[in-house]
Amino acid sequence: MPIQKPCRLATRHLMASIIAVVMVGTLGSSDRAAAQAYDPVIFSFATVGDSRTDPGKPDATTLLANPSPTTQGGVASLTGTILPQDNMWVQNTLAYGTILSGIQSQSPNLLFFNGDMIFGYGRPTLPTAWANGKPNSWTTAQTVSPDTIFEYIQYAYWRGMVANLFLTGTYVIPVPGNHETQCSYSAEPYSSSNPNPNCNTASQGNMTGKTAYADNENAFRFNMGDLVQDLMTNLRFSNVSGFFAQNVSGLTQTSAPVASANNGPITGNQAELTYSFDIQAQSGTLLHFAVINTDPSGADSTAPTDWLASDFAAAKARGVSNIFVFGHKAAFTYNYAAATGGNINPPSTNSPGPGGLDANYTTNTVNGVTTYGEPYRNAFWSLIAEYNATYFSGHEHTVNVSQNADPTGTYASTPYQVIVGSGGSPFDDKLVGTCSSTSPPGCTEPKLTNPFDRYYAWALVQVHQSGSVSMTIHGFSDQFGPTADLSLYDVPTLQVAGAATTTAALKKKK
Amino acid sequence: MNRKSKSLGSIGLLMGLAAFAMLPGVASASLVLDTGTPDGSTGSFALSSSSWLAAEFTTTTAENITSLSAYLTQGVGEPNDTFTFDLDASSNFLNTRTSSRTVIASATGTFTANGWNANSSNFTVNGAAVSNFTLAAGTYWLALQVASPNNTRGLDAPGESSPTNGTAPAIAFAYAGTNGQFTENGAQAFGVQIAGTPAVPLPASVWLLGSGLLGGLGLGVRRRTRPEA
Repeated sequence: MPIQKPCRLATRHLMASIIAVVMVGTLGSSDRAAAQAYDPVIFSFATVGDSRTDPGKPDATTLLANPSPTTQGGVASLTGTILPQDNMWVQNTLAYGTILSGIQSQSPNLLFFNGDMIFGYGRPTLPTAWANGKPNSWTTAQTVSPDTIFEYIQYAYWRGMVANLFLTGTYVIPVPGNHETQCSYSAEPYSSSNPNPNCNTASQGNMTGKTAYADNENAFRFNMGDLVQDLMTNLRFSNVSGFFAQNVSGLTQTSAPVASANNGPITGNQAELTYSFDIQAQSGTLLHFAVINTDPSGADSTAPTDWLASDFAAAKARGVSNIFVFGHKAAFTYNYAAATGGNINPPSTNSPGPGGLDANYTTNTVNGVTTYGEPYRNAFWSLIAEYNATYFSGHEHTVNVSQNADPTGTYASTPYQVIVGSGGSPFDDKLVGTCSSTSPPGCTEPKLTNPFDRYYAWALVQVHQSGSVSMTIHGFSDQFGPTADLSLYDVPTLQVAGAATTTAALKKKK
Repeated sequence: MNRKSKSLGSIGLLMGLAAFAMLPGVASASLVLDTGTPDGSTGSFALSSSSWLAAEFTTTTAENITSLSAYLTQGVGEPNDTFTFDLDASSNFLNTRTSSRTVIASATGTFTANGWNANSSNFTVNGAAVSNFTLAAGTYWLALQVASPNNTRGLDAPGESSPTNGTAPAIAFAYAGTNGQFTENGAQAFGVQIAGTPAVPLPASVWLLGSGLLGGLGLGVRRRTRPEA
């Protein structure tokens, strides 16, 4: 019997209902599957560097127009002046404060700050009556150099900015940068015509540029040493972070790096400037963290590779699953100026030229042809590749994530280098001045190589219950817009656990 | 039954059905605000205790609000992370700190999976828990906020390049940073929806229903008293 019209309608409605129920059910089950597949975070850390500003050359977007008499406060302007507060304590307070607030909202266990927390660049010599960061047996005959006062107030301001993080569960780990360890003969408030007398004499070995001094390393220890020593003394580290630091190394001169073939000709005490420790995130997940000074006195622009090799080997023997290394200078300079014809290869006369550990290069001229080599950088990266480690740095005032092969060709892995020198220092990629006579035709400014080159940004690394490690980059534009996930740089799997494979072994396997 | 009486009866029946459909709580749901599913072309914005988002919208009729939804992805958060929907009066919203705002209604949203995450039948109005509430005709802001890292370490709200995307686009978008003060400057579109039903005044619907029933009754009386030839 043929189905009557009302019956046909009812049948259609019934079919549609069944399909809808099935679809909703499928949707619901997929949602549940997504939730069940979630890999909980057992430990996390944030990292950023370079929050200091430049009193002479602040980023144009941080300037404020002079306040109108009829309205409150200054407004953003490209032709105004730097906020007096930031001029005095030489910090990009708005950018760095916003970053810290974003980090606080993510509640990481640790924050590694990758150097250049202060403008510094002076020679903070101290009288003999100065001990443990305080005056001791003070007499009128004892004096403190102007550079010391200039640097110490900057350290204090920075410490004040991060103080609140300790109250909300994030412990701050300091990494020395070149603005802390070096003296520049011409940096503000000095100039090439009015050079800093404390680092501009032939006997001090610095007639032309920037050099690391033991005085500067002492100042770093005085102002940051308590944070590093607490890894061992544990006055608050475990209470703040929720984890105990284990197997701490590098807190004494004898356990810190000294001069060697691949460490470079280090002359000063590296205690509390280069150090390492473990954290047992969960059973079977032992994390190793190494902080390195990439501008030690006597060996500017080097990594203590021999010290790291010994440190990594010991960590591996303890069964560490992941190794994270933090230094100020990148191993591979990011060419933020590529879009405007920039060249980052040696020699340093190139613009912008090499700026990281690759700036420490050798030259070899044969038959009028000059070739360059970076033995310190190459040895360092080969070690990073051997252990499948990840290297986080600053120095370049931008954000960039890259994978880099072992320059020596020994190991097959291509570890990540994460540059987050985007904590508030004037961006390297300028609003104007990036186009030059060598730029491609039609170069208009600002000309960015990557859309995030002028973003204030930080990295968040999460260690999951499964043992996998993921990384996300967060930040906001130079116009201080909404905080975004810079997903272009997100890495779902930052490290692959397991022994490194040599290139030779890989070829043999094939 | 002649043609005239038939058509009168049909009109009465239709009026009755129309009145029934317009009764409060029976009318079909519609989207008062729908910015559409974002394509993520402008990246993803963070929703955390230091980064909030909001959309402005207008409703020309009173609406019974039944659900609020936001299009979110996991970001650095976790399933079951929570955030708050706040409906604010637009005149007090921008350039006003959170403590000074006029919140009409609020609801807690729970992140379950990437996509639309809704809150239905669980609102707070004037401190009381209700399953729905009436929003008078007017202009409002719907804000997505997070009170502390305990709620979430950060969910992502994918962006949308077209601010007029969706079946009921927003008038404007805003975001708030560390000081909790919203601004439109630099804000971009994201996915948010408000579902509701038109709130028709009861006397009018009852009148329509009554007239429809009377029409139907009249038709029945005519049928009995004047049998067809």
